[in-house]
Amino acid sequence: VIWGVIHGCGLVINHGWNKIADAHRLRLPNPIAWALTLVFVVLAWVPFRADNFSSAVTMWKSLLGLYGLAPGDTMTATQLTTAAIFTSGLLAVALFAPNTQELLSYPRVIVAALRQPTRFVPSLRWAVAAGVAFGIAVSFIITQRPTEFLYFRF
Amino acid sequence: MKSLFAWRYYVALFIVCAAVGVLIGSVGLMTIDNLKCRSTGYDNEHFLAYCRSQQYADYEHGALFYGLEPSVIDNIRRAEVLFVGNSKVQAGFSSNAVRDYFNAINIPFFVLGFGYGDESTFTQALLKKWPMSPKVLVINADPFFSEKLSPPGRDAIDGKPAFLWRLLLKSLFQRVHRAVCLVASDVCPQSEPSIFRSARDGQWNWIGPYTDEKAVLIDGPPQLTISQEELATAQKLGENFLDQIGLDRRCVVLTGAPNSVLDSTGIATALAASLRTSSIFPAVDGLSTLDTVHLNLASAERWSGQFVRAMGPILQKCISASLPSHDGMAGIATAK
Repeated sequence: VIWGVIHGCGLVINHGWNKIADAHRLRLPNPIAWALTLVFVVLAWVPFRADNFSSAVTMWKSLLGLYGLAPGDTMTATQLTTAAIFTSGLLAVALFAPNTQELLSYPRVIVAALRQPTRFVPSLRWAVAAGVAFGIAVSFIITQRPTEFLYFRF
Repeated sequence: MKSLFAWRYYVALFIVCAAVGVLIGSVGLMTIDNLKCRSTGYDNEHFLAYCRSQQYADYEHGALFYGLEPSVIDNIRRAEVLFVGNSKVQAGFSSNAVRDYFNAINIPFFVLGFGYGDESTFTQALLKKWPMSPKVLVINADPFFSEKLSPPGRDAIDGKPAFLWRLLLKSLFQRVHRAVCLVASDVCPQSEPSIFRSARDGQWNWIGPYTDEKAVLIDGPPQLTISQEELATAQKLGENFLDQIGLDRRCVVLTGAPNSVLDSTGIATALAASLRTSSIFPAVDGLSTLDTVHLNLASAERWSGQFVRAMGPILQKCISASLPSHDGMAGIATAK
């Protein structure tokens, strides 16, 4: 419920801001808009994961640095480095890689600037690529153990 | 029509590639999950029987039950001397002393014990699946004859599709694991205790913190034994087991691998008397175990060395009687 309320409030703020911005011809630069949205979403997901409201408050305080900014004893330097590498890599994928609609709209996946989009057609290359990718995805589903929290999968 | 054909062709190819993808993905995940297993024991003869990893754990039950490792079933069926029992028989008879003795007299043998405490129920199922005709059967009878069946043993006998699928993955994983750790040793931490098993003679090669650095001295007689009721059950099951094998009882040798917990010698002595079999109990002082139960490498060498030397008369009687011109018979008296 809290998660829904927070997201609802976020949408209200977003729509309100759009109206104000349109009326006054204001526009936030993209990096600032992305950063604000990202921080909001990260904070808003906390109650979804937390066991109860008090642990959500504890997590929020931790995220805001109220218990200090240094990583806890449980995180090693290697884990921090690994997390930074993965986050950077996934950020790059999110910002620069084509999404699934683009993948299906263009004959060559990397060249997003192609001017003449074509529809997907059955071909040897598509069958192999899609089949193997589908199979690997299925193997992940059948091999992995159930996780405690569904959204850890995303 | 052309479009319909193209779609059919596409779907067929997609399904084949998806199946390949499932296999690639599953083996890949199993490799990532089990990189911590040891890889130093692989060679053309040894496979990874066990790794202390939740995603790998036991492989040998299924591998031997379904004959997944090259020539392992042929080697079991070819063996003239079979050692059966639980992990104590594996620890006790996986020694150079045993290998050197039988190689010297040219008699094929196989150490056919299993971990997870499996005893006669699984062995009997294996004997039923792959009929064997050993000429001498050595049983670590403390009591061995029981209705116990471990979870991996049950899974192997049941042979459900999920178990068989994981078994196939474990088999394929070993090939990938061996290659990956050869090419990029840095990604293989070699941290989990593992047991490799010889497909030629069934001996275990324990790698990891199980091995000879541990030595718990066996001092004083063991405290535990089995109840009269359990002994009576073992006798009944033993009669049934030995009748099925159909071997001359004098060619069945009962023993009890020394340990600090269970009076294996006392139990095996009682069973040998009631089942009218032979028995061998080498008297060796100063033996040690890894964990109060399994003989360590040094002690296994000493104890099993004396054991096989004491088998000479039985081998001569049981193997030469069935095959008078056996090449190795002349060497039995001199083999050390």
